[in-house]
Amino acid sequence: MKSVPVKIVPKQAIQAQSSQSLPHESAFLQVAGAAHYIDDIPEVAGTLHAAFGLALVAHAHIESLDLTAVKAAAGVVAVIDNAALPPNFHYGPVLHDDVLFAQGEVMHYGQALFAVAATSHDAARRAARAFTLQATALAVNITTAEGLASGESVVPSRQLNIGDLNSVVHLPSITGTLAMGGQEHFYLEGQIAYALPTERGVKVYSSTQHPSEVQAAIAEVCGLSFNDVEVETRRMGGAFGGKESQAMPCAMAASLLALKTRKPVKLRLDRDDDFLTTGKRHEFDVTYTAHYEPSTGVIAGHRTQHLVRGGISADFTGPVADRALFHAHNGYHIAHAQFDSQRVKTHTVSNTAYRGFGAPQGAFGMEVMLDDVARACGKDALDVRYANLFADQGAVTHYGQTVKDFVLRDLMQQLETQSRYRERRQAVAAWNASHSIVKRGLALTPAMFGIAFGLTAHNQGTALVSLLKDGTLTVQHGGTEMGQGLHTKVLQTVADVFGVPLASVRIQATDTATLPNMPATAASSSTDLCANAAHIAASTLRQRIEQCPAYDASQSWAVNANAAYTARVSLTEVGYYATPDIGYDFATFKGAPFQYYAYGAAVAEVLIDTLTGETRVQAVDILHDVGRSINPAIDKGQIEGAFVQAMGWLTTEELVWKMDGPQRGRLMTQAPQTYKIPTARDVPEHFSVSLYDNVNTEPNVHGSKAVGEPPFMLAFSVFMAIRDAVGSCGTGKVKLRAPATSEAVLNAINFMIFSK
Amino acid sequence: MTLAASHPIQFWHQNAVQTIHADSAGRSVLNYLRRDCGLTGTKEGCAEGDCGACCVMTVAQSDNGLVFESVNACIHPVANLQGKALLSVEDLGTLQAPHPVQAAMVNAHASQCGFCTPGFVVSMAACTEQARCTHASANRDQILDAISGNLCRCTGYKPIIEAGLNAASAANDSAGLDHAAIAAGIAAIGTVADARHLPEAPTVLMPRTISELNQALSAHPQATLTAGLTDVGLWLNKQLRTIPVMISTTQVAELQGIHHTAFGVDIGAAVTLTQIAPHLSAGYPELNEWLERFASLPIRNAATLGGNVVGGSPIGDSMPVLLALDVQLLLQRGEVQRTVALNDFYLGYQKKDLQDGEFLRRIMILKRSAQLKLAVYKISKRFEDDISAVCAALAFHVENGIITKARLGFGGVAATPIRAHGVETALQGKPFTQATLDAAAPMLEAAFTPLSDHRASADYRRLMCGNALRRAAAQWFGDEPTRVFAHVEGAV
Repeated sequence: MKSVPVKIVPKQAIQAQSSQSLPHESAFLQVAGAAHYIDDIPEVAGTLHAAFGLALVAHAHIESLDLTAVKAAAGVVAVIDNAALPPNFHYGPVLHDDVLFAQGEVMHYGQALFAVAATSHDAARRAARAFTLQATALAVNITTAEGLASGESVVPSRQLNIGDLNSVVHLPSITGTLAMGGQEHFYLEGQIAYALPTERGVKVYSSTQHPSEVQAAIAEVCGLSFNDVEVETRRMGGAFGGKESQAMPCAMAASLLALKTRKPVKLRLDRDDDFLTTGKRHEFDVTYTAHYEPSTGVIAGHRTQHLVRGGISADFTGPVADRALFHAHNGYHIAHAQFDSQRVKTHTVSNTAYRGFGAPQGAFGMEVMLDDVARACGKDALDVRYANLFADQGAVTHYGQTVKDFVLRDLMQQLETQSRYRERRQAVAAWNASHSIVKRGLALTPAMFGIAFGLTAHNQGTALVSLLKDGTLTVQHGGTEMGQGLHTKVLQTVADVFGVPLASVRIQATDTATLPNMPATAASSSTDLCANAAHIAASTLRQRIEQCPAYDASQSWAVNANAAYTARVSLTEVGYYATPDIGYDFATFKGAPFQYYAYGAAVAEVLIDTLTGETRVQAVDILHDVGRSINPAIDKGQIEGAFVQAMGWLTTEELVWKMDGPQRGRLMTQAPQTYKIPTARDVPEHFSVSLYDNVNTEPNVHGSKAVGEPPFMLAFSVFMAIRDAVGSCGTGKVKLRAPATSEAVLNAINFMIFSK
Repeated sequence: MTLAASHPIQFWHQNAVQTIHADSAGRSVLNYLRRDCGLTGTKEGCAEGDCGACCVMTVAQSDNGLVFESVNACIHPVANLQGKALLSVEDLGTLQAPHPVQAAMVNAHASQCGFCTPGFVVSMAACTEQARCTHASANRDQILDAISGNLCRCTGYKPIIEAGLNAASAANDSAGLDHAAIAAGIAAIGTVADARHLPEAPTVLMPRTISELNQALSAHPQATLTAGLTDVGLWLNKQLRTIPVMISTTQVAELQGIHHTAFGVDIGAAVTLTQIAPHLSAGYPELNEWLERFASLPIRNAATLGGNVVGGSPIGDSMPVLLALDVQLLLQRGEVQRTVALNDFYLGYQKKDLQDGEFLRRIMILKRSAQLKLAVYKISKRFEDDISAVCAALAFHVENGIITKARLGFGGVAATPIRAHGVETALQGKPFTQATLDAAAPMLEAAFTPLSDHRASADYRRLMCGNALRRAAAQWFGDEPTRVFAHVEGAV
């Protein structure tokens, strides 16, 4: 559809679109089935389709790999294995310790051994199963305990000593453990890359959150310079952290095969292969001893160990485990603490980035500790949470950052009132006193999430804004769209600078050919980085055109664009933004890693069935801080989506590995048939989401705050409400692991009843 | 030899009658749309019928008017479109003139990444278009059921449900699909045309009578007998099995129909679960929750009760219930028919009392006895669209307060669907009281030796056998709620 050139609106008269709930920029395309994902791009004639051959053993020494039958299979055009790669090739997002194909040893079940290109997707998949692997089985470590016992880690452990724990060990103490499972991203669009050979290199359409890193990986594995590799990402069908490092293997293999065959090659993982080969959220096993004041429930200090399952390689395990430590006190002031974070190696997929990036795991341990303390003190867990919160003014975190705008207490109190928490608490207690089969549980939990990439260097954004001669605008920026509404927010920002409707501005696909300063679209920070950069670019461009002698405010942007062109004034501008005032010392773990914090809280009420352990979330009330929202509908969508995704993590989504037999280490929940993310019926009808009235005190775009990850932590409320209900079955300790499947809940109930 | 059963497949799609040769009618509808037609609005999310990104709409003409259904295109063969209209997301509306569901999705901010969106649009449009036929509006429960087979990872579903309800309330407006044009399209099917061959697909023979079915079976003794393909589709997509010839039962007249007789309900083997549901529900309202939780709606629209029974999976959901109801199967081989009790049908893991060339013709469910007390429980990780860890169907015939007959059917606890015969016998003649049932619960916990797997441990499964009985006792004799799910019997 053609956009209509519009008249110029004076800056002071612009009706701000940045604050309106405008539809997602692709919404109409998406509902019509007209939005293109990579598999929808019309294929170039001669396109080949590729598949990985996967090892069906978890840990084994490779004696020989026979690909004769693969090469002879119907439709096969090319096969690549380690011989096609640079010698001893390794890659990876932090350390270069990942392999594209198993080298010497198979390290996890489903690890790629080779890749094959054939004339059809089906032919490639069939051929990929035709190999013969001779291998000698080796010991397989699956659990964190097994990994720890083996003494192998993927990155060095970290110990933190905060305050003086010895000064509070005279206080009563409680110990506990919390096992929390990992999580499959289950982006609806699986991993995919489509590589087209070019004159000197490749152009690759990649479903990735990090095009420039994918570009680098392709260049390195193919022996090309970066400027001969172009990576384009229009949109992803979901990502959630799973398309940062995990996008690289498909892109590398497709590129190698495209260069080898001189034909376009598409590599799209079948869903089962995606489950088997890609990293997931890190499992954590948390053990703690908390020392507390029994009269208040204030935790004076604690000793906590995080056992982090890294899988076979580093990937993001180091920064994930670090972010867990940054968030290990959530919104609470705890003066004395000792942390031991062990990042163990196991023969499972290399765990990776996933929404929250360790923060949920770290904060979750804290919340369970608080719950245990509250129970030991005989207090409402909400009161114990209040008693432990940071002070409203001048609080300093355990890593030394001053918290400038601690609004969490006020936010929680507002939610407590809005949700009638105290009244419902009494109703729940009354119900539980008079019912034996179905029990109720209630919990209000807070979330405090630091915004900025942990690695300070990533905190930068670039945007290119151009005014075209028909008066329309284009924007290219370094962020990628995975459904989170980044492009829409950037459009709103640019449209407001020029005072034009959203339809007059288009976002171009994210492309490495344009912008080199592209960190991953991650850490919730891409609106901060890219919308700020776009705002800078658009403002500078508008100012330049206005200063052009031929500028006529009574004319349209089209007329003025032509006038500027005639006057030889540039119609394009690059904006660059680097987050100010951040940085910390990696070695001492001290400093200001974050620009600001986002806050939220949620109340969940649940029912549990004491005969089966089945649970049902009855009602959810959320109050969340996004600063001054650029787009309330998009922000609420992020909050609701994150909440339900995390609810799945903590309830029905269970990754189960085979623990015995020759297939020990095989992921048994490798498809939606067996891995159960929430459906619509799992979401309560009462699901109220409100935005906390706030403005970012940091000079962020439009006064907004990041929203992608922080609300993920709100679903702790569901787990704590289940714990609350389980706790009503007896007086002892609640021993409930996550995910709280029916079986886990029933086990916890029965432990409580029989340990009376 | 050309078999009578090798009829070409005809359906209405993109404003034309499409004719596909039987030799490639096993092509999935998803591959047909995306690869053969270049219609890429329909997405592949899992290729096993569990995510709904590939949902498409089929429209059939019935005695009661048009029937709009959503099915999983990834495991739906083109053959099963015979006689129907096929509509994918592209056929519902355009950017300029969106379907009410599409417009409502935009207005409710119900798409984020957008990959699942076409599937949701189609599933909800099937629901609202069906409601439009009777000038009704779909309610929240119907919208939820409509999207029971659609996964979204971004939105948390709230805006999608809102969009569905908004579209439903606007469904009586003139906006929406042109039903007359669809009906005319379906009526046009049957015209002679050259049949297209599709790539990389099995042959599907579509016999229309038992006689043609027998002919096809004798010509292709190795062929796979299929119906909704909701299981066989996974053999193809996931195991990459080569199935040269499939013989579809879906068009065989004698395998269709639901007949209410003096003895009960007589169900054709090729009748879909969706078609059966109201008939079972009428006589056995205790089955409502089980019917709702049997896979997802798009699967139930394709899958057959006969397929579930003959598949014989130890975790199939129909058999515990059918065992508890003393169902009889009518089998046929050639011209010879025989009746076998379902209880005697399963001989061992994936072994059935079914000879080569023999097929299931009809399933016979007895009329409800006035003395029956029935409870059915499915225990799984997720409420909707999940496979049972344990499925328990507990039936008691009670006369003058005495249990005259007990039938306790279970799934997920043995190599086959199974009854707890010992416990049934022990309960016979006992007073029908909470004490009797509670006392029998430990016997049920000891009745089977289930396996541990990714769905549940053996211990949990054993306990669920007993707790199913304890729950039924509490539901029948107690005075407090026994269930947590909002809309099921006995719920809070």
